[in-house]
Amino acid sequence: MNSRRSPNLTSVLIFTVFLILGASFVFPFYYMAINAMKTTPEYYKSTFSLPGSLDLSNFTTMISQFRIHINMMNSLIISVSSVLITALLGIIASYVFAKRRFRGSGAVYMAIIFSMFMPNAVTLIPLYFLYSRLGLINTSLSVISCLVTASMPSTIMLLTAYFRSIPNDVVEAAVIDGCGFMGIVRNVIFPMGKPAIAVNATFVFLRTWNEFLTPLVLLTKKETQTVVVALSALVGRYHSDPPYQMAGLAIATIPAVIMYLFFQRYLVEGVSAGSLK
Amino acid sequence: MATVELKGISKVYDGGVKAVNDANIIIQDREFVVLVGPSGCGKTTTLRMIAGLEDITEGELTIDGKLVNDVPPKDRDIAMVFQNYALYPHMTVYDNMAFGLKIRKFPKAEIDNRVREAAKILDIGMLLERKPKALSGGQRQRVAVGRAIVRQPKVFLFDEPLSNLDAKLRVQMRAEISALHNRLQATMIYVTHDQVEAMTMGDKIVVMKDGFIQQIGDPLGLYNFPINRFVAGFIGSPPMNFMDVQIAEEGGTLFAVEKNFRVAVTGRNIPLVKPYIGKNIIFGIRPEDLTFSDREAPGKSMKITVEVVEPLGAEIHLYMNTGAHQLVARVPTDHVYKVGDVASFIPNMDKAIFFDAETEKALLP
Repeated sequence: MNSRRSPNLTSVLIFTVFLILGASFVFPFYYMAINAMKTTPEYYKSTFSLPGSLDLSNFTTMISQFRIHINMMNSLIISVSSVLITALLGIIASYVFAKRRFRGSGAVYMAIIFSMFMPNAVTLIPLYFLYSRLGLINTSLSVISCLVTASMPSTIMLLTAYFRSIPNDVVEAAVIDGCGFMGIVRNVIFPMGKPAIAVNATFVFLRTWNEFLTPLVLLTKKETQTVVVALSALVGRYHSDPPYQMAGLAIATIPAVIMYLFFQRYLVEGVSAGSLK
Repeated sequence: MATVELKGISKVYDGGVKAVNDANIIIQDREFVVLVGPSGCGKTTTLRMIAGLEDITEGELTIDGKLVNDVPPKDRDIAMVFQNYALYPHMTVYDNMAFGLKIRKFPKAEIDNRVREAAKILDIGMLLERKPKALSGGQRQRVAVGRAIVRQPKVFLFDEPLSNLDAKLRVQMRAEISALHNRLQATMIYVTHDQVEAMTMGDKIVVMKDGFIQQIGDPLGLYNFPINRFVAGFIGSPPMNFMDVQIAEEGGTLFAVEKNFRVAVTGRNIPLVKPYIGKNIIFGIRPEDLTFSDREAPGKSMKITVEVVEPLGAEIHLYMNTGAHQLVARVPTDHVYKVGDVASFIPNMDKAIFFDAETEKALLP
């Protein structure tokens, strides 16, 4: 029996569509990567050709002159802190919504989910005045608290849905075994909810890493700014040197790519998982 | 080990649904008590209240004489085996069994001893490093039982632990749990909807329906002296046959009269049905108390049409029709029965049970 079937028109069409889709995702990265390693004359000669040599000087310039590593560190502190705080609060809140329903929990849950649809910018100006009074402008804390708050609704929505699929029996077994509230969270909810928690951590990290408006308003000094805000200055400062801009952007994407690679297994598991056996 | 006592326990859920009504049960030390009843009868709710997983709306629950209504589950010194095993999927079998002891900060050596001892009892020693997903249903159930054993609790609670197993494995595990009870000499409370499990495992059976306890007793006591029609029909397989009859007196003899037959009332039932002369009453007879007769016996036999023949090897189940009632008989294999046969059957009237037509309560001496 011939196990290989000849491709029919539908599968060829589907393959072509996915190929175009994949290329549209990959091409900007490819374009950024090749141009980040070109000299300025090389870039203007042909933006689509491969670089003549593996030249990393644009990257070293971004670090030595633009001091992008400081902004990278700011972004890292803000993003990692936001991920950790969101995860901690989100897991606890979602466990309560999923497994320990209380009078009015449905209404509270809906209110939290509703707040997801409120644009960030609406609260930004009042928050600016608030943080200004508290002396928190140009501190990571102000941005972290804003980003955590903004990330909580989607976190709660995702984790609550996932935690609901954890069998009640397992939670009750832990109660009988002697676990208290945090014992259940630590020993049952966290390990059994890992795929969803990892997916959410990735989303929150990418969101906070790429967040522009909040840090732009709350972080006004260059040395306190996140890499995304700082990179926006590149447009003016290096407007005639796109390879520098590309190098800066390439550096800024590295953590997100690492994050994806690190959580890739959980991402697939978390997105596809619907039931726990 | 411990005595468990439920005094007037009731459970009302939000919305006013009363799941358990005024339950009074005394479970003696080392007793194996089975709560049995159809779905929604309140048996699991009762067990969960004993476990502390449900709040008690009304009444008192004591374990070893100590009121535990407001004591959290972890402090009640109970262990529970769940219907779906409820093993921690991310832990190995060893860790699943050890978890309760670790939480209670037992020394490592003690935990190891207890886990290995329980694994030996349950014959799961070779599975200790496996995760639950790598186990069969029967093995998972053993691990769930092992998790309870290692705790050495005062009371073991089982919530329909065998209902997810296939028929053969269920019979095997039934025997193993009974053997375990004999070995551990522990107080065990077991919930099931399967009356065969209840009859074969329980020292004492609590039959429940619609949140009310119908009857508490030992298996044979319930079988032979059911307090009402529900218990009579629920305990026993195939179930007891029920027929609407009228009591008539002819020549000093009392007869149970149906449209198509009349049989004389005998023995202990005579004084019990006497007040019902001329009235309707329910006549109950167990399938094994119907005997085939090759000739008609006036006033003793019933003419019945055989509709379904179920040969089971050791015995035959006959599903029959009197013309007004469906009956089932459990008969030996010494006669060949055919569908459509009209045969005479003699009910053992000494073992018949009559029920009041209105209250459905059994007329017992």
